[in-house]
Amino acid sequence: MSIIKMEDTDLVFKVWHERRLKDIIVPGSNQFNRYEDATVHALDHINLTIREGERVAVVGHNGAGKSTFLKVIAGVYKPSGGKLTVEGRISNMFELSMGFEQEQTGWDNMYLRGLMLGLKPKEIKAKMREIADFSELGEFLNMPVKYYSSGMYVRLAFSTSTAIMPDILLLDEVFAAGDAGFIGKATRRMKELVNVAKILVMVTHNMNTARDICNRCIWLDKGKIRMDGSPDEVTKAYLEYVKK
Amino acid sequence: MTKQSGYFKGLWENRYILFSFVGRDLRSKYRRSLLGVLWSIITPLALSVIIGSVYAILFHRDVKIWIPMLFAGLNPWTFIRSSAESSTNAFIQAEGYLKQLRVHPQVFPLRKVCVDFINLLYSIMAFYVVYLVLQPQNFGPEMLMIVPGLLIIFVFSWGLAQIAAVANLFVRDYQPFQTLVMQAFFYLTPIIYQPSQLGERFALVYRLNPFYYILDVVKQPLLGGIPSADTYLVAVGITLVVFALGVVLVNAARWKIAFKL
Repeated sequence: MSIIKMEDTDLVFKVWHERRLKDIIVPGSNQFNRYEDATVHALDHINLTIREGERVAVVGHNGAGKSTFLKVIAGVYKPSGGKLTVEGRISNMFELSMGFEQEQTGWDNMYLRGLMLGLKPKEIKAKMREIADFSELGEFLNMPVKYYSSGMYVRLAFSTSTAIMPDILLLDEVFAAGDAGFIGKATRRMKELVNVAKILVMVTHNMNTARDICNRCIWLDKGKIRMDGSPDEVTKAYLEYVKK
Repeated sequence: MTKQSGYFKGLWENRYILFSFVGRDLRSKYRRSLLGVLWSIITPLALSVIIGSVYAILFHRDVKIWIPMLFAGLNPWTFIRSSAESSTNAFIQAEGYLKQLRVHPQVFPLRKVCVDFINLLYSIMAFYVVYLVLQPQNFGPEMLMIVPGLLIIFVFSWGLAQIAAVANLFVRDYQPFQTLVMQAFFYLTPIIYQPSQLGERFALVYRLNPFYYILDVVKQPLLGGIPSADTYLVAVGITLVVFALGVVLVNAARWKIAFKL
């Protein structure tokens, strides 16, 4: 049974002011970096339950806390208050060119990422052929990933992250860099994953993606849930708000 | 206490990741190099011959005694220095993992220490070859005491590496500062000279120097001697303190690391 449950979940982090010796000796010398030590309320007391079978799109303008929301679920950030329950094997893709060993080949990176997603060496080795086929990267897998294009990173990361049959799949705006053929294929795979009663949470700026793939939509604004409902309803309200 | 034990549990969970990192780091270190891993043996060997010859000529020392002595101290010192040095960016370099995957951060300083430790093992092999040529009569069962010695120096360096990794994450001035301090300790620790050369007047320089004890538990067995019980006691004590401090620091910073990157 997979579930994501947030009870009054809160996340506040501090942004430290960059201080250099010059700033101390010459007051006012740092014209463009005037902000003081600030706190950012990235998630503001969120209450939410996501159950199996739900495909959730998260929308909102830049800085609304969407990525932070995913990272908290993924266990990258720890909530500073409230309760968070996440059950199930998580697989996630955030910044795509990150989390690769640039000097290593596609194969090596696939293996390493599999381990980091919680697989045992035997399990990931057994899946590598299948991942390679899905990614269609062919000979490129023998090359160090530093020579990859952004689209190739997407293929490698997506193919690996979804091959482990995660209970919970978290995606952050990843389709910007795949070509049309791969987006179609990836969309089908995501639908398959959700069909075996698992959870998908994705951050997107593309309202069509939200409507096509998801059956629930959350609109985040300043770390709070502004609206929660069907994708049609929420994307419509969001677009109307953006136009104003 | 539960927090500190979670530290080791996390390492155990991520053991395959650690092995994979260390194996690949070692392989990529000598990629496109003709001599490859032989450099780990050639470098300390050549350094000892160079420094050894200079001293032999300038201060009329017996090369047969002097080169092994220098080599035995220089190898473990290089290990301590380079693992502390490379660990300063252990977390910074791992940003891509720490910001998006659930991997335990304590893996990353250990990764650096393991790579440097394997280099130490290579350089010790080089040492044995030289020593066998110069002074075969000193080989004996006492040399097995190298095993506890290596264990001590490994844990000590691991502790230092964790401190360096955390400190440099918060204040980037730590890295140049550490380089400077290590350079100072290189001269303060009897490596390119012997403790006896300091005389009674400056004996405190090495007696109060933690690195002296850590180096000694490796250096003496390499040369075929056994360090005193006091040396072991001090070395183990220092190691435990440094290691515990490292673990506590990494744990305290655990949830701040992703924000600091």
